[in-house]
Amino acid sequence: MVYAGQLFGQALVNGILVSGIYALAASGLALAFGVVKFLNLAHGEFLMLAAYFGIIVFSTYGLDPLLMTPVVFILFFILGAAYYKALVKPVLKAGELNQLLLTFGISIFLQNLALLIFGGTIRTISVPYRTHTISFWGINFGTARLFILLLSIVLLVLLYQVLQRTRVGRSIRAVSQEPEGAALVGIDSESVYLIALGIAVGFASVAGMMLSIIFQAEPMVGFNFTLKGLAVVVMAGLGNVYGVIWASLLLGITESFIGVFLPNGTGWSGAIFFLMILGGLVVRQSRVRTI
Amino acid sequence: MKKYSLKYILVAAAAILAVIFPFITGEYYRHLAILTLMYAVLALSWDFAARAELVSFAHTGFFGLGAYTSAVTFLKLDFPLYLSFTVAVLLTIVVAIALGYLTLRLSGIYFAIASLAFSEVLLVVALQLPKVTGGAMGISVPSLFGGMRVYCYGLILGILALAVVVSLYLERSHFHLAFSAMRTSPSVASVLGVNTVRYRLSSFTLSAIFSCLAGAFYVHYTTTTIPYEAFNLNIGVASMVMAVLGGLYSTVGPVLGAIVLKIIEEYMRVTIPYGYMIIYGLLLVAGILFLPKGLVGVQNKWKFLK
Amino acid sequence: MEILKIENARKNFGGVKAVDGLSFSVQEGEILGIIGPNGAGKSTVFNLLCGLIPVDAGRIVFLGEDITLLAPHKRCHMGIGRTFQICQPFKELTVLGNVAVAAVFGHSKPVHPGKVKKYSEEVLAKVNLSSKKDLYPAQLTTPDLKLLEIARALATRPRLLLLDEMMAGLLPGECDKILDLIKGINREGITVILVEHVMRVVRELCQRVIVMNYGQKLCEGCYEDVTGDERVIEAYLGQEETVAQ
Repeated sequence: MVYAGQLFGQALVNGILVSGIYALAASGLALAFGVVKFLNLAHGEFLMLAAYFGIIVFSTYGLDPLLMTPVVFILFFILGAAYYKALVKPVLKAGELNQLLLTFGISIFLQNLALLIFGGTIRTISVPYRTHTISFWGINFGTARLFILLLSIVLLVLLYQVLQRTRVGRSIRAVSQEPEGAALVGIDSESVYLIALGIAVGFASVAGMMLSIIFQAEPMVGFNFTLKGLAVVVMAGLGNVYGVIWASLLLGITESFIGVFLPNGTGWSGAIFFLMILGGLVVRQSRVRTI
Repeated sequence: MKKYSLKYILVAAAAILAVIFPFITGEYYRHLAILTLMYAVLALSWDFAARAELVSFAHTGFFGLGAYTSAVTFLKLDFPLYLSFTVAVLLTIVVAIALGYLTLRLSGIYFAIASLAFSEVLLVVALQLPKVTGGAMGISVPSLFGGMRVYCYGLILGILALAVVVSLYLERSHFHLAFSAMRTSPSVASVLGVNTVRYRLSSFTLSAIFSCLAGAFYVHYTTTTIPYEAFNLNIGVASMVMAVLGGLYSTVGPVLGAIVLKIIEEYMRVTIPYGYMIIYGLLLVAGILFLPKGLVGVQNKWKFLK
Repeated sequence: MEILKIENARKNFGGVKAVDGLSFSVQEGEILGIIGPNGAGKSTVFNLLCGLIPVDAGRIVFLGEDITLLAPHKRCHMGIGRTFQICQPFKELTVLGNVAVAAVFGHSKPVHPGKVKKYSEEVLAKVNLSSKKDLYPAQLTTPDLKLLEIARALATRPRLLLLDEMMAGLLPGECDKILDLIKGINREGITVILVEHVMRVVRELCQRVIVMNYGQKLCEGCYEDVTGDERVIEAYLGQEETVAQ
């Protein structure tokens, strides 16, 4: 009995811990879609780039990725803004489908670029605290993962506060709800879009740095996270930044439980979150339906 | 009148070339041509869905479904080839209609995501049922026509010919009216009596059927496949780019796009072992950014050939 | 004979009550006008009638059948035709092609494929667009685009025609042409419901007028009664269009 409870608890904890990264990765997607109305399928590739960045910096200079995170955030914030200006803005008026294909193309391009540069090998960092764990009540908490979860929570709460309390945040919300109205009261949607995408990509980069510590970096990891981010965002309701948290928890915990309790579970967990995407979309048909 | 004669001459010449091609070239080019024709079928099948304003990633899923269904029935149930193909197509039709009913009312992006999810789910299913599909180790079937490439070429050419006929029918019949209407405005179309769901379902199912046929051909031609190969998104992406760059909503476009892009891809593949898919990413991005009005502009390229 | 009835229809968008307990009925063969200040919910009513938006509550009965849950294309087959305020031609098709779509799909007994072209040409002749049948919508002027909207709707052989602000953006002379066209359509037995802001048109065409405000029916009657009603004048105060035009 105790053993089963422990297993349950461990699965739950693992699920919660991993949901932090999912939330961080997904909130960028949600922000981009909610504000700029742009579905960035290349989102995961920024994650991947940041992960590689973290690894390279660590192996070359020995700098701890977690410490580097603020720097990386700023770098990628700028990258996100540049991304908006160069690639996103031109297709904003061209229709959703063009945007979809464009970002998908960018995703393919970046994945293969990484393949070209880094080859097919998987890279990891071995920071000293990578495998360190704490134990409570017989359940192991990976220290690094715990820290990452806390960092995710802090960042998401920060985002929430910015959106609710600051002028910038209100501008962002105004533009996402009512672009024309916002323009009429003098809010410059251009800067809002720049900031929104900057934050989105910045968050992705933070998630990428975290990834380099507790998982590994390989060219396809980005796409994997784009898909998981999509699952979260679809369940929360595309564009709903606040719903990302519970959706990530749901995803993370479900994935963890399936992995633990289903025979050959880890293999099926991939299908599960796709089924969640499908289920989420079908259920939400009343809101996303068209004739 | 001059334009029409030119068109017929070109078409006739292309048809003759297509038929005699395997007889006048060596093994390598035969192989390349076979793959190109397969991609042409895939590109056309993607275009079928696109005509109903569906950006779909499901053709990847149906490709793999066709491959595995045909392989499994051939191996485990000892079906003759034509029966395996038939079963694959029938299963595909059922799945396509079921998936369609679930997802076809979704608008653009949501449908695209759902179709992507569908293909990925099938990938996992193939991986997780080793007793049926051989799991990650894959599945092997005996070589098609005993390895006689000329017959293989004939088969895929026949499938392509069928796809072309279907495509031409779609272009010349009331389907064309319905699709054009739906592309401009599904609401207005429905108010004028177009059953948009039914037309989307039709084009989606047709798309699925030909993707399935391409997949079934693929597995017998290459004799082995693994899930990561049969359900590989790269195949789907390549065919998508071929259709987009070749010219959407046309018959000539996807076929021509397949020919041109396969040649480019082959060149890249022998030059760069890893990451040759980068060319597709680049072309897709460049195509969207620099073609006037993105995809719609391309359509006009081939108008004179219609 | 009553051709259409709306009972207690409600539609909310977010917190906004676009249509709030609306009820009215339409007699076959009449021309009914729906007027009201901006934002009164008039276009929403049309969207509810043709099925593009589902009602949150209430019933719609057409030709004696409850069509509340019926899909738009089926309503078209039953005989509800509609034009759009902002013209939405199918830009990839020619004028003839646009009408052909309606001809082929618009009725439960579709026009025979061999006869589609001829039928479409006849419809175009009725609205005087024959000379432009091979042009693309992008090449048409605004009044012609409106004629195309009407032609398309007509090609579906409707029994009830919903005209959504046809006169918006037209010069008086162009208005007159469409006015006569609508009269002709009605003479052939087609019931018409007009949403309009141009009061002259409402006065000349409509035997009965319904005034809407805030999603509700404010009052109902013939043009003179309605425009003399105090509540109606009050609702329009502050609007740019004047009631006495």
